[in-house]
Amino acid sequence: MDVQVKLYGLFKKYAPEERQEFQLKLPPDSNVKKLLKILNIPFEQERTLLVNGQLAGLERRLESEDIIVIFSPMSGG
Amino acid sequence: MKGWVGKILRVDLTTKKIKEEILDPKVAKDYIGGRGLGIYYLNKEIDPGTDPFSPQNIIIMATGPLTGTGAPTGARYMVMTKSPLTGAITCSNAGGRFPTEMKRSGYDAIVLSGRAAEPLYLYIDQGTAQLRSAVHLWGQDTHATTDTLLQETDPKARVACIGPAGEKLVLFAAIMNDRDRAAGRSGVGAVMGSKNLKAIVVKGKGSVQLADPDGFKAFNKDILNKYKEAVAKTPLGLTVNGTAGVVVATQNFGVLPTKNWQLGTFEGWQEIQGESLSKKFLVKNKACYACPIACGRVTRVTEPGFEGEGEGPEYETVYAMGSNCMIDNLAAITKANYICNELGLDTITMGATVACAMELVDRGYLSEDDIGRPLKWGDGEALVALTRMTGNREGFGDLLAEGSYRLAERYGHPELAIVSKKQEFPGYEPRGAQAMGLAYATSPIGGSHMRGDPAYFELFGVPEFMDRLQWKGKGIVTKAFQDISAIIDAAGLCIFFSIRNLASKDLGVAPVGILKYLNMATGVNYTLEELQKAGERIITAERLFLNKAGFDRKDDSLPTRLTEKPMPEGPSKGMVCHIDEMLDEYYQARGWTPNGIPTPELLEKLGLHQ
Ligand code: SF4
Repeated sequence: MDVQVKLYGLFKKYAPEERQEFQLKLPPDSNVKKLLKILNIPFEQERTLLVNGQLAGLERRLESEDIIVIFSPMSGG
Repeated sequence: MKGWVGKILRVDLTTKKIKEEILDPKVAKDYIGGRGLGIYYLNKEIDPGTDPFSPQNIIIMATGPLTGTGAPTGARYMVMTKSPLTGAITCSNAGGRFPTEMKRSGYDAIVLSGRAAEPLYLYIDQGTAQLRSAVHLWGQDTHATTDTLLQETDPKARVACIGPAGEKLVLFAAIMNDRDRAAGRSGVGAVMGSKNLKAIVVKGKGSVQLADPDGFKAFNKDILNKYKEAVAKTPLGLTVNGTAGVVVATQNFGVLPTKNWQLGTFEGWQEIQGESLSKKFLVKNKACYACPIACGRVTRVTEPGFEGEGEGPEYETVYAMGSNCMIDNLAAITKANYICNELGLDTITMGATVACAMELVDRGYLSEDDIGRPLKWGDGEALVALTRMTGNREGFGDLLAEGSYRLAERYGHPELAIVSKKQEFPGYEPRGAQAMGLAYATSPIGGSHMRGDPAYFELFGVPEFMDRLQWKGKGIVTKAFQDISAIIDAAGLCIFFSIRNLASKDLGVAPVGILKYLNMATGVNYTLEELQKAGERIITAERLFLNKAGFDRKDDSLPTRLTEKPMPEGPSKGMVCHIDEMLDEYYQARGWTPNGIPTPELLEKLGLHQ
């Protein structure tokens, strides 16, 4: 299945060819953990991870056409 | 006294009499300082019904016991007065170097009253205060004023002043210190202008006395080491990209206010986010006194038509002048920010008022002939031109100078002003961050988040994430965040450091680190309970002022756009803000009646019964 991935800030370096927004093919029944593994993002790296605009944990199952966004935790403003 | 200086300076501008007063140690302990001292004097000395521009209104500029101590971000002061924009109080806070220097000049707080017959400035040189003529400075912008005053007094002095906007009583005029730091909100600069006071110059000596200097130093080292370890692992976004880095979060959560709050995402967001600012215009970071974060941005723009140098923009500015106006031209936004700094204007209300005018034009309620120029969504040149006209009250700028509520009301559509208590909102959409709506509605200054910021638990995950779309349970947590914010504001600290590093995760963000700092600075030995009670006391004392000025539940409200119109798109699609449900829970948590009035039992508990 195809999902859309967007990596911002410090996470850009994990993107293929450093393109911050890209399509990714995942095996069926993948979850967030699987996605991080494929992208070589260490689990312990502090992050805010959204699936379709909502926060998601490692076990969250992914569906075709999901939009996954990852950026560093922030504060301020 | 230790931590506190123990002295207040009173300046009557009508009679030009200046006198020193001892700070009552009980008042100091009960109200801490800063925001607490401000509301203590407002309640004691002015009638809440006072006309904000009358000589009877007073301005309190107050530092906290941790200002200037070397505690991280202990750099701040608070400006409190009755607001001409809202009719409620102001709580306008700034850092930089002026507040520390003001405290070193010999005073915890300055209380300004009356109205001078001609423009004056106040000069405090190491405990000696005098009023001097400012006739030659009237009409000058904040940078020229600062430069002239430093020449006239001492190059090592620090200056807080108003620009033409404050002189001309623009309802959202700021007081600028150290050139580009702003006590920006609710028109504090206009009240200063109404008093014919152009500037305050301070020159101090020595350092703040501490009750336990060795303990303080050791604890400080410990806190800073922990901070350094944490940022070595994950660099802090605030340091890397400034507050404008937050655009990444708000855009992707669907809470980036866009097109005068009609939408929650902005197509041009990449252009206005912190990374673009760093790449395009950043010269260097800048820190307030004793701050390890350095979120300040010194910038330079060379793009034709928008050339300039200065500080900014902050997140709030890129939302208000950027996405909210559909402007993705960061050079124009930054230029408008510079003009705000120079003329002395609040960037949030300025941007939000232009956005409101754009919608009035778009819907055909306001004609471009009235404005004297085209005003379409996305027009960066118009933003720059209108900002300048507003600061000088020229042409249509004279109407913009009254803020969005009065503008929209004049053209028959007050519902298009996105305000609470007539003050414009910072850049977090309550339909997708429910508690944010509660914070705007219940803030004593109207639309603001800095007096209790739910973005921490709804969008930043500090201390941990709460479901941003859920409204149940938000009343209690918002109260806890407002209480700790009152303590931070009273102590003289910056919220950006304190919530993350000086509060405990459990017990509703208990201010455990602040407690330690305060006790070692002052020696008064607060218990945690006493300190938390002081936070509640400050907020309830503010509420008493508002109640007497006529504010109650009906004023703790949000525009119908946010409570009745579901968000049309993005990750917050379909949501409205459930303000009424949250208000009930919030008042109950506070010990206020369902109409938003503190109960006699609560007043008794906090020692506020009259
Ligand atoms: S975090 Fe930013 S605003 Fe706060 S004290 Fe530091 S530099 Fe100033």
